[in-house]
Amino acid sequence: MPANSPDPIAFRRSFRRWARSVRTPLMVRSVLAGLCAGAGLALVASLVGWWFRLEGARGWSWGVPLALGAAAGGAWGVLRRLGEREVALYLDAKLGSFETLSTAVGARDGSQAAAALALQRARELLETRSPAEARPRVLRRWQLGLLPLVSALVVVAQLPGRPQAAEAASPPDRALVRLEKLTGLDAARALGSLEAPPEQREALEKIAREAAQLRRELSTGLPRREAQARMAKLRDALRSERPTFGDRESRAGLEAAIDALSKHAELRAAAQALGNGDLAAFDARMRELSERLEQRDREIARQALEEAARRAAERGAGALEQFLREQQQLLAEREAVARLLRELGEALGDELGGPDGERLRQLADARDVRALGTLSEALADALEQLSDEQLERLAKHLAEAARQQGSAPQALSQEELARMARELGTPEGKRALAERLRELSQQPLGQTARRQRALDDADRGAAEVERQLGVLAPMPAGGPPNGSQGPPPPSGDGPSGGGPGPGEGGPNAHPSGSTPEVDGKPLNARAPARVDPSAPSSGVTVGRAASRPGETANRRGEGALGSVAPEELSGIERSEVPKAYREQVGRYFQP
Amino acid sequence: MSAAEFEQRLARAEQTAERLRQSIGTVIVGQRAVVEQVLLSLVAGGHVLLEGNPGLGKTLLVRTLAACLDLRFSRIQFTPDLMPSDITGTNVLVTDPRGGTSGRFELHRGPIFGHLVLADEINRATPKTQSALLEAMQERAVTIAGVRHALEPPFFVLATENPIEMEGTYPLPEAQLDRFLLKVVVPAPSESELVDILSRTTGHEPAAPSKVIERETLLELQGLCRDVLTAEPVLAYAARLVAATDPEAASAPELVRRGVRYGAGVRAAQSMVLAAKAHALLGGRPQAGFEDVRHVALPVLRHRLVRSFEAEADGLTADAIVLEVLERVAERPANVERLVKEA
Repeated sequence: MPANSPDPIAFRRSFRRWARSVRTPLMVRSVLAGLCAGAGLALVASLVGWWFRLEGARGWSWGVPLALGAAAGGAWGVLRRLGEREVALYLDAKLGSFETLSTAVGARDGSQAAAALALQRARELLETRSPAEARPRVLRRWQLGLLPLVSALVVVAQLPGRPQAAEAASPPDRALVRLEKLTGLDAARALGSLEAPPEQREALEKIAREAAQLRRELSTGLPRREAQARMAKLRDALRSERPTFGDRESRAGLEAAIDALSKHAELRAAAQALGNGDLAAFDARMRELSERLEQRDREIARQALEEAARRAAERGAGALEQFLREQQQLLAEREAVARLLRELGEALGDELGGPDGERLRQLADARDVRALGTLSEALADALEQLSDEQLERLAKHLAEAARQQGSAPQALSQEELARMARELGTPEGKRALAERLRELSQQPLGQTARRQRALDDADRGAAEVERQLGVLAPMPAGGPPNGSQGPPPPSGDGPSGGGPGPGEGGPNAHPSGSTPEVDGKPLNARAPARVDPSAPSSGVTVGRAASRPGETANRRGEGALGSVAPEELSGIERSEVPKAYREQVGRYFQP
Repeated sequence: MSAAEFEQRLARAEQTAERLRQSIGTVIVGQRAVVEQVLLSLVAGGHVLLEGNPGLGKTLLVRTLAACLDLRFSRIQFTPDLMPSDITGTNVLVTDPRGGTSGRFELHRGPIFGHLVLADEINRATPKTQSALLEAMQERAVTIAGVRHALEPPFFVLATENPIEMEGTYPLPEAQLDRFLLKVVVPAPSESELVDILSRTTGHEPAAPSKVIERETLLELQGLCRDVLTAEPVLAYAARLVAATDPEAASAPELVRRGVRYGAGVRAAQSMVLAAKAHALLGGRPQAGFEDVRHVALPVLRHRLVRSFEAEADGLTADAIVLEVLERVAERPANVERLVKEA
């Protein structure tokens, strides 16, 4: 068909070809634009993955955004695809054809002849011109950025991973500490059930509650600083409740009591223990005396206690007097137990006869107080060997002992003795007596000593917890765990060897070695160093002042304490105090 | 009619138009745009309002055009005392040659019955007289004593206005201005054109131009004009241009909002498309394009905009407003426009 014939089909064919030459570059442009956007996203994702160390993200971050971008670009291109009229308009503008193509594509007026002519001219136009004249550009200037984007992607992919940042150290006081299965606070928790005077019971219960609370919170996590502060307060509370008789008010009474006790050789060890503030050791010493075979020893102890209590009362040491009276009571009770056990030993030894009986008699006559424990066990065992007749005689003996109970303290009460006598014939009665005999040999400490020991155990446990919390805790007030005792008590001549410092009015006081009175109410000071009055004191007063959490207890003494021996702060290194104390004190004076 | 025949007719029309230009050019110096626009209007079958200072050749142009066309030419000089019957004609009592009257009336047709009517200084006549002419322009018929008389086609009115002497005149109302296809502003000649004018007019009387177009040829041209195609986007462009002259329209530029009280109407869009077709026809094209619309937009719209008081006070002309509209309104959809403008 000639080119100048108005063939609509031929025109359509040509026009579609031209339309493709317009639409295809535009579609490619859209896809490229999508790729650019995807590459940008991929670069951002890669950088984010590299920064936050998401190695997995760096791997796939390439493909997904690129693919998504290309798809989005393609979809956008489809949505914005030029229609036929738009293509015709574009081509007319590019070819300068005075809307020939637009008219051929769609004109709504005019004659058919004109339409045929327009169609013919449009076809001629399309067939005589080249689509390249009107082809849109594929690349826009900003799409040239695709190359740098891809290059950047390659570079980022090759980057080595970021090193792990050092964990920012949180302030030590903010760090949580978690301690599970804390046994160090068990002793403090048990203080709530400890036998104590009414005025002290509430304080002990409060300590027990705080210990329990701390244990719970430490098991779940507690800021270290807070834990340390609360442990310090707990230990302060434990120390404040610890029975001591060496404070300013009762020092004179203590010295007088020690002096009264020290007159007797048998009681010097007890006096030393009292001077060291070790009530459990004092109690043990007194118990030993109460169980001695010789009446004279027991009488000496009783008289010494009486005098010590009196002299303590004269000097206003009421708590000390109460303790000494308690020891007096205990002395009598223990004496009665020992007597009963020996009497029973004699009686049963006679009943049994033979080697077993002989053994019992020997135990009953032994001077060594440790034999009493063996005697009570032997007595319990011997009950099983007694015949009915022997048991009956033993029952009579017990009944007689009951009748002879006077006002003096006895190991067993009258009623108890009488009941045992009645029930001795039964197996249950024998077992009850055997159990009771064993119990009698294991007399506990006196109440005050027991309380002090419990508080010392609690303090040691708290010290252990403080060590776990990283606090260099000072030595517990009850002394080191190995139980080493302090220096011997003053002998009355020569320089003082330790114990409470010579105070006002003390028998061993030396004017040149005394220190001005120190307001030590917030302080628990000990000066176990050997004092040489002829030279500047080489000892150091250990001061542990109340401090805020996180602060060291290092306190240069204030007031009188600060002026005592400031130059001797480092003298602790040269002192002869026990090494354990020296280390504790030394840590206090470190920054 | 086949495409080839149509193409031949297009070629003939183009050639006829060229001959007409040349024939007019033997009398009229310069004024090419004016001549072109008059020709457009002639081919489109519309009327023209010529505005220009006295002595610029408005009347001469029309006379020359009439001489080139084998058409009946009549001239009406509008004066304030002109009556409508002076334009349309009237029935006159016939006199008996033997004396007395015959007792019958005879229609004496007025100048309106010409093919090419020159209405000089139309704004000097009273509105009543103006309306008689304008009725004929719209209806292409006149009513005389209750009898309707159709005007023989082609009927072409070229009206003139003198913008200087406006005192005591009756400006045409907007509704009647709308009936003119184009408003052509006749500019002053350039210096070289003036020299040429002097050369021609101060010597011997120039020869009368030859007749170029017969009545049937002109009618054919007018029919051919209606056959010219207009693509949908071109029609849409014409509509957008007209819509943009409405100050209330969203697409109206700021200048329109400020300077136009009433915009162009539907007749303006029709005139624009017809004129664009005529332009395409005279260019030998079977379809009107954006270029054709842009070419005719100014003469089509300038007399159809009612300016606001602010525009009049600021001296903002209608031409400036139309040019602003042409600048702001895009020919093509935005996406195609962006694509076309890519380097």
